Amino acid sequence: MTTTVLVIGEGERAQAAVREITDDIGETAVVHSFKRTQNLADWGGPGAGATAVALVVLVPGDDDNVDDLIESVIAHPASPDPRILLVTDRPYLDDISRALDRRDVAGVVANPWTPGVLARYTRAEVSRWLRLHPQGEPVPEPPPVGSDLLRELRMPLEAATHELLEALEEALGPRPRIHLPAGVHISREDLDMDQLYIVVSGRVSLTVRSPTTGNVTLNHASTGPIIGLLALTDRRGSMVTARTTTPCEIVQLTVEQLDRALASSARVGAMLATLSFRALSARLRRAQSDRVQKTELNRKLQDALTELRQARADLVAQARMATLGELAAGIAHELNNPVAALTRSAEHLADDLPRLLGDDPVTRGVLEQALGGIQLDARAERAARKEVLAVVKDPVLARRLVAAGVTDPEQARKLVKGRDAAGVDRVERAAGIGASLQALEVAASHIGTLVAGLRQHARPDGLDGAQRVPVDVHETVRSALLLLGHRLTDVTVSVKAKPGLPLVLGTPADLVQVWTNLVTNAVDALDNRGTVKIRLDAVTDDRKVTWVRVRVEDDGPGVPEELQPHVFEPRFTTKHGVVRFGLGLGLGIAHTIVHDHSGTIGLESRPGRTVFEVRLPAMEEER
Amino acid sequence: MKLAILVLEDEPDVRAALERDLEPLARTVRIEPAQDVADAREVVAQIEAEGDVLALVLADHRLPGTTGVDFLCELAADPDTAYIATVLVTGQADQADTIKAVNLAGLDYYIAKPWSVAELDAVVRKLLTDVVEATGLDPMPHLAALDPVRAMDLVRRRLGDR
Repeated sequence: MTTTVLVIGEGERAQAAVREITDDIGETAVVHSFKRTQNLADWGGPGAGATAVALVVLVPGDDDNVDDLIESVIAHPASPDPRILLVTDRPYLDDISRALDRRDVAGVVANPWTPGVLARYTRAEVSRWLRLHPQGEPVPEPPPVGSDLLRELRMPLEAATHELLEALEEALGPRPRIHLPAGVHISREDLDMDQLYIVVSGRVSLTVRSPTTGNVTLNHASTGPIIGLLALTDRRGSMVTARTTTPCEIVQLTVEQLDRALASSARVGAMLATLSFRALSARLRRAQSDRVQKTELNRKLQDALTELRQARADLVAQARMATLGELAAGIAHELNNPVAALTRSAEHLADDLPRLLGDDPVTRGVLEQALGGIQLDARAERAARKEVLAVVKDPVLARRLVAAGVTDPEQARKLVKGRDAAGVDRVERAAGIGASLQALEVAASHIGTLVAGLRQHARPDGLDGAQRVPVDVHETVRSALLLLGHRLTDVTVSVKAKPGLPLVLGTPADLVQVWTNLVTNAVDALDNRGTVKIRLDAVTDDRKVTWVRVRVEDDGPGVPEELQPHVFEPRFTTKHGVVRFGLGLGLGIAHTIVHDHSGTIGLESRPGRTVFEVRLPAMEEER
Repeated sequence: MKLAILVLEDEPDVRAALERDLEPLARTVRIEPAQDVADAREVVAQIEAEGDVLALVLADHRLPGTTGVDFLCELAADPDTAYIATVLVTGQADQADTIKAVNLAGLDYYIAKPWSVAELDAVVRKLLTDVVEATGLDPMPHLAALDPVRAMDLVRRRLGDR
């Protein structure tokens, strides 16, 4: 595999570059030469057995824009990522900012160059490119570093330490090796450093005191073999405490001794600079990565804080709901007695009034009719009014009599015979009283139902440890339908149960409540027209748990999608000032009971098909 | 011949209350209840068959089946019934219903529930008088149900015409 090198440019210098490079690495590389970047377009690319373009030596003309040239070079498919050496005789370059920004320029060589230098740079760049783009062959060694400082900076740390010691001892004579056990403080925070320690072997840890978290130990790797570098500066207060953590061998130097060594030996200065530079750059690197980590930690902390705040807000909301629930349960309980009193009183009044009104059959009939809550529809009312009008001759009287419930023309005639205004008045009052009593009963029973619902929700029966017994779920469904009988006149309800369903452990009355609420909800949704299907079967899930599954399906309009996530949340809905809890409290109660039975309840709904699915864990069969 | 008022309302209690509040007119004007639009059509036919004149419809807008607004539109669209005064009595008509009633049913008045007896009485008298005036009927037999001042004016004009 030969390496591909391009030289782009015109004139004597470009040719000199081609010559120098070809002479130097012609054996391992093929050098292609182009006068202008435009000519690249006609180039077929490196042939078989050659790499992609590894290096481009660009010799721009006076009027060329270097950025443009570089961009057209890297646009060529054969040179996706070349090293680029720019050879120029311009004193200023103001057209390589885009290329620098992309790190496209590997180096700038002043023209004319010292002969041989371009070849050396070329070799180094080609070797660098081969390391970045391995070709499956051994990479040629980069040219050796010529300067001492660069060579020393690349020395292994231990070797550099030994060189320093050697240079010091050459200048000062042999230095005693001090042996220390673990736990010796070499320097302390806040005390002036006036000595330098060279750690020949063993480990020393650096700690920093922090006002809030106590001592923080710095990373061992960043310590380095020289302790007390600050002694060399004019700020002597030590920032860290250095302590041996293993048995150590160290060499101690006073500032004066160091001064003497430095004055007499250039090598001491070079090695000290090397080691200091390396220790400080290691610490800097460490500090930078710590800073990145700190930012990251801060962000995580911020997230955690946000989550905590949210969690606290949720808890507060929950607590408030719980308080409200208790309050509601308390009020419901307190309302029981007054409601019972209302209901009883209405019943007593209804019993006593007819006796008080005496034997007049018309008055009693009117009262009882009103108590029964019977109202004529408009058509019947018109017909009755017509008949009564024919007898009493007065449309006002006819309306009043029919409104009071006197629809029999014969009775009407008797009432108005002899212009008995008092008789009509009495009948109207009796009807009024009847209607009021009836309204009272309806209202009391409405309150009673609300209170019962509230109490059930706050403390459903059975949640306080009522006896759990083996329950035949099908039986509880039948009971629920029996209880609901009066509500189901206009709705078709069918029940299909797989024979031999397993029993579940539960409270029968609570389960009846669940089915009652689900069926009531379905019937309400159907507006009393449609079909409710109840299906019972048993299913076994992935974890081999058997569940009794009850699905209550209706063909009503469905639950709007935005409401679906909330149907099990306990709440009242108010519509036109009327408190309803068909959808809301009823399903909330079902949810509570099912969960208390370790079951699940779910909803799947679209217009025309709404299914509530309840799963209750089956009892394990006795073996 | 009597003028007739149709009270179209599906809630029996509200219907009864409207009729009770119209009682002062009941000896002069025929007042007929209806609970839905089908029922109302029956009443309209009956009034006509018995030789009376339907002058005013008080309708709720929410009714089972056809809405009250649709029924009023129906009346307004038929030249034989277009003269009938129309009033919407409602607690919850939405904007679209109201716009439709005004634009297509030529709604004469809008009474919000709960109504005041005085307002109801004044509106009914005014509209009955409008109908009598517009149709050129003799106001004399209906005087007790009309706006007294305007009714006397009508009577005088009629005498003057002779």
